[in-house]
Amino acid sequence: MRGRFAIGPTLITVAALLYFFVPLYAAFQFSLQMKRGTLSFAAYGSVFQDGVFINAVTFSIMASAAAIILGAILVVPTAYWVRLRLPKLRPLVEFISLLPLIIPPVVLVFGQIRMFGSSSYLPLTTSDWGTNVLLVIGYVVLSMPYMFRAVDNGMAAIDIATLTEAAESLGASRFRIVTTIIFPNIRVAVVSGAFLTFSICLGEFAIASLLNRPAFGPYMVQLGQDRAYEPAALAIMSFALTWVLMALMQAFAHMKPGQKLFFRIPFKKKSPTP
Amino acid sequence: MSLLTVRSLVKSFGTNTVVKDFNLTMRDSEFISLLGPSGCGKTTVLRMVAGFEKPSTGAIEIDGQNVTNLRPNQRKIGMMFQSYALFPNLTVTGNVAFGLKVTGTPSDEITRRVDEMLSMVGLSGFGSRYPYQLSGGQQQRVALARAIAPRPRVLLLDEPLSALDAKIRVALRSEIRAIQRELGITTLFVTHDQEEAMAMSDRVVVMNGGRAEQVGTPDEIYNLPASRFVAEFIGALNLLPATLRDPATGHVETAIGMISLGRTINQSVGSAVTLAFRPESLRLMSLSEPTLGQEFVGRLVTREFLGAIVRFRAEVAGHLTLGIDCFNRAGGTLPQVGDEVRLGIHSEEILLLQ
Ligand SMILES: Nc1ncnc2c1ncn2[C@@H]1O[C@H](COP(=O)(O)OP(=O)(O)OP(=O)(O)O)[C@@H](O)[C@H]1O
Ligand SMILES: [Mg+2]
Repeated sequence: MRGRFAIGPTLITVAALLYFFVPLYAAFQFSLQMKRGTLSFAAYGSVFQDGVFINAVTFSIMASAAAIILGAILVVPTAYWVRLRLPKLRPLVEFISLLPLIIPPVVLVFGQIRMFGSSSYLPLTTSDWGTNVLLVIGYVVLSMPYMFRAVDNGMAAIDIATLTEAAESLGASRFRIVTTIIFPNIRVAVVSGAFLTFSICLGEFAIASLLNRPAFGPYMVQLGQDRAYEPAALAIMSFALTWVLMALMQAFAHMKPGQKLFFRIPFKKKSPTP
Repeated sequence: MSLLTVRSLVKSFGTNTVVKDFNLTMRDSEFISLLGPSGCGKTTVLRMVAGFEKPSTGAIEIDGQNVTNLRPNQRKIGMMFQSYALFPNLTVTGNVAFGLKVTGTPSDEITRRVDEMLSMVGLSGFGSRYPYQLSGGQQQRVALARAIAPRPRVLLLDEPLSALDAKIRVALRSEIRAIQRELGITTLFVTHDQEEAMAMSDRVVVMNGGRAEQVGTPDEIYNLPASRFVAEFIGALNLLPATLRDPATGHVETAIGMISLGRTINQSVGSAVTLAFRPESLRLMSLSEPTLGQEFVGRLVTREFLGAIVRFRAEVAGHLTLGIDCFNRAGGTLPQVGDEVRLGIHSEEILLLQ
């Protein structure tokens, strides 16, 4: 077989690449045709000149960042404790973390609105601030399957039981162990969970729309209804962003302790004047 | 002064009792090894002293303080693990400084202490490396420096050398011992390697089935084993079934004839006993040598050359085989397989096992 041109697999590969790249290329080409008769980046310029776009992106980035931080604070200690002390509960916790994949976000957000609506004991939806909190919590739930998995895999890669005992014998408290030993050692896993969370939150529509938040997902849908060329430009940019995130994730995943991802610009030390 | 006292320690996992009435008193600066076959409960005892397992019953005192109910991080102990367990995200300096930071030591004091520890374990200049940049032996030295830096009251080591190769194991064990002596740290060391236990320890605790069978200096354990288990577990041993004929003079009858132990035996006439002696106690005698006391003849069946020692097995009385260790002296001639030989032993080197 070696050396022979394998026709079947090659055809499948080519078909898969075409399936993926042809629509992408079509969208890209379409996005360049805003000005009649020439190819230009006018659609991209138009998107960036829209103040609503900038606001939507900023809002979504802030909300995802909050969701990432809250998710990590919830998931890291939980996964740690389950692995260390309650290994029998792990299948259950894993199952719970997968629930958001089965339950549609619409159900989640209706639940939130019923629980925290204007006539409830804790009427969070009556203020912007409260609704933002609900949105972030919704994002945390949506990203839970990815965050938990990433963190749990990260913990499987280090011997958390022995590291914990070593730190305890040196007098460290639980809090110190989680923050100075466990967290830094699974940082790569947390970061990859964070990137996944980020890409989910950025495109999320149902929760943001039903809570009426000015997020990027609803903006994109609205734009798709109102305009022709700009949505194509946005789609291309989202793809590019996702790829950049994937590349960063890979770079983080292969980093050794103490290595810096980006080169620091070395400052010249001032030599003391004699 | 006793630094560590372990009283009537019992540990059960469910219905399985793995440590049974374990007692130990360690003096200040003493080095004690827990030695025993796999699964005899050595690690469990050590983990109870460290606080990682809670005893089912019994008490542990360190420096006069009852620590039985204290959490591990309140016990001021140092611990070394078989798997090194260095913190992968911290440099060598960060690892050694960890315990000092926990206690809130001022940073210039930390720097000084870390340097002192690293030079003590021979790793000055390695401070900025990460654990993955070190060999196994170097990692274990860092683990030692990390464990002793905060001046623990007791140092606990669970087979810290078993993951290393033979040469480094021997070098590191004498280094650990030298550092332990210099700092005077009371140390409890778990191993299943009897040579390691003998070479390093002030006293050895031989464990079997969750119990301490014997506690004694290495010579006591080797020369005066308190039980059949200890005698068989430590070193090689020849066993010879016998029947007691005269308790007052210590005459016993064996398959190779009457043997006189030359001491009074506190048992009744006719009781079955077992004689035991080390292969190196048995001497190959030339025809001209005067007798050692007990003597019999045998035929050599195997010969193993081990360098400093040559190990023979001889068949006696037609069906018993006995091991004999001889020094390999340059110029001396040793017999060959198949030779008839004269074997001798001093009667005081024969142990009596029940
Ligand atoms: N957490 C546990 N749960 C149940 N049984 C345990 C637990 N830890 C240890 N045991 C049992 O206790 C017994 C003693 O174990 P321990 O680890 O103390 O042995 P050891 O003397 O250190 O052996 P080794 O030389 O193999 O390390 C074993 O039979 C083991 O299966
Ligand atoms: Mg063990």
